Order: sequence, then structure tokens, then C-alpha cells
Amino acid sequence: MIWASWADFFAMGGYAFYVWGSVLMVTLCIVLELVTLRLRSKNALRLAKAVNKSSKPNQSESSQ
Amino acid sequence: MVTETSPSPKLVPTAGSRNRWFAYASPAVFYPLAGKLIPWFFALAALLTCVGLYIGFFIAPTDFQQGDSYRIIFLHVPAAWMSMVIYLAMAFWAVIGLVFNTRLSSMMASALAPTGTMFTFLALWTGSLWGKPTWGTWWVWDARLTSYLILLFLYIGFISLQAALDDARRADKAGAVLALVGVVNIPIIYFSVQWWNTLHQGSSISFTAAPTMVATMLWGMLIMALAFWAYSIAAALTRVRCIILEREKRSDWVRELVEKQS
Repeated sequence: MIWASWADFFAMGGYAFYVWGSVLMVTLCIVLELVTLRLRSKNALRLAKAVNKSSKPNQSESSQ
Repeated sequence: MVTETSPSPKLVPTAGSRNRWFAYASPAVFYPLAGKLIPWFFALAALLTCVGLYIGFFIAPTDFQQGDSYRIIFLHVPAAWMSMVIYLAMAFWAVIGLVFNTRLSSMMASALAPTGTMFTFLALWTGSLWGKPTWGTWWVWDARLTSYLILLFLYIGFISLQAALDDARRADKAGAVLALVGVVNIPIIYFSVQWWNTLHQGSSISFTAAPTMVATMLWGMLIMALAFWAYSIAAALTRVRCIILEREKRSDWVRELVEKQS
């Protein structure tokens, strides 16, 4: 442990804005990507289910 | 036009099979495999991030020149490395898809692009926040920063181009050409600090010489880089599964998969 106190840690030797600004943006982007991935996964699975409910075994439907 | 014929799930690779690797190129085989790998890579990413940030923010000493502003390095450098590695991987898969006509390879390229864009943006963002206290400016048009901005535009161009084309296979091919042309930018970024007189410093670690930094700083950075690797793999695999489902929803194997689930 190199910090004297938690306040010292958050102050980052006077560079708090720059260091925490970086950390915050990285966290934000990763959280955002995880949320969009979750939504896309759910959506893709729902769509696949919907498509296959209407068209039973016969595969007459051509793709695209 | 290439029709989306679906290989049956019976096409599971066997040990003696000569076409083992091509069998994995079948989305039907790859989809469940990726599903099994994803949680492990996310777990690994979380674990490595904790260790890397702990080393970077609690063990690594304060830099005598830059003070604590240098701690941005633990995010900036791994993000920058990752964005270049992802670009190379994206171009590789795109070209494989173009040459061998393996649609899964092209899907992999498309799956990597958003994560690569994110890391490129993050490298620019953190670099800007680091540049202000150390150089006194948020941005300069030097060779490193400019070539890096071009990387961001290449990613955005790749995604936009693919989004603009309705036919998936045509989008794959157009994207592959763009990705391949853009590869030339990667060595330019990498060597820009040597070829030109840049405000951006040269690399502190290289393949040929001992690193010019304290061991704990180096370790924190390397572990964070590994964490971003694991995260990128997990994110790209998750996204490629979405793309597979979206494109192959009318195939036999997806129907069987969906029926099994419900």
C-alpha cells in the first residue's frame, strides 16, 4: 500500500480528474457494451424462436 | 448468391478427421462451443482486471516525473494494444472468409469490429486525458495521434459499410476489402514514433531491449493487457453468436436448437 489514506488515494496526487476520468470512461464503455450485447443476444434468440414457430419442418422459405 | 445451406449438427469433428478445422468453421458446431467458452473468458477478464488494477493503483510507486498521472498507462497502453490486435484479427478473419468463402470467418470479423472501435476510442480518450497534464494539450496532430485517429475511422468505416449493404455475404466481401486495405495503417501506427518526430513518446517496452520501467508498473500493464484480451475474446464470441443466430435463424440446426430450448 503506497497511499497514506483513502483521501490521498482519491486525490491521485492532484491528477484525480485525469486518472478518474480515464477509469470512468473505460468502465462506462465496457458496461455499455455488455448491456448492448445482452440485449442483442436476447433479441436474436427471440427472433429465431419466432421464425421457427411459424414455419414448421418444411424449409420452403428461402433465406434473404 | 450463396444460399444459407445448413450443415446438420451431426457434423461434429472427430479426432481422426482430416477436415477437423473446417468442421469448426460450421456455425452449427461453433455456436455451442463458443457458448461454453464465453463464461470462462469473462471470469478470467474480471479476475485479471482486479489483479492488474490492484497492482497499478496500490502497489506501483508514484512516478518521479509524472506523479500519479502516469497511472493512466494501465488503461491507455492495454487499450491501444488491444485496438491494434483486434484490427489485425478482424482483417485476418475477413480475408479468410473472402478466400475460403467460410461464412463464420466473416461473421467473426464483424463481431470484432465494435469491440475494436471501443478500445480505439478509449485509447484516444485516455491518451487525451494523459496528454493534458504531461504535454499541456489534449490533442496534437503528430504522426502517432493522427494515424491512430485514422484507425478509429477505419473501424467506423468497416461497420458503416457492412451496415449499408443488405446482403450479408456482399457486406462480408466489401468489409474484407476495406479491412485489408486498412491493415497498412497498423505498422504506420506502430513505427510512427520512430519514423517521425512525434510529441508522443517512443515505446517503453520493445521486443529487442529490456523495458525502461519499474517491474511493478510493467506487470500491472501486462496483466491489464491480458485482462483486455480475455474481455475482447468473451465479447467477440458473445457477439458472433448473436450474428450467427440473426443470419441463420431459418436453418435446420437453429430450428432444432430452438425446439430443444422450449
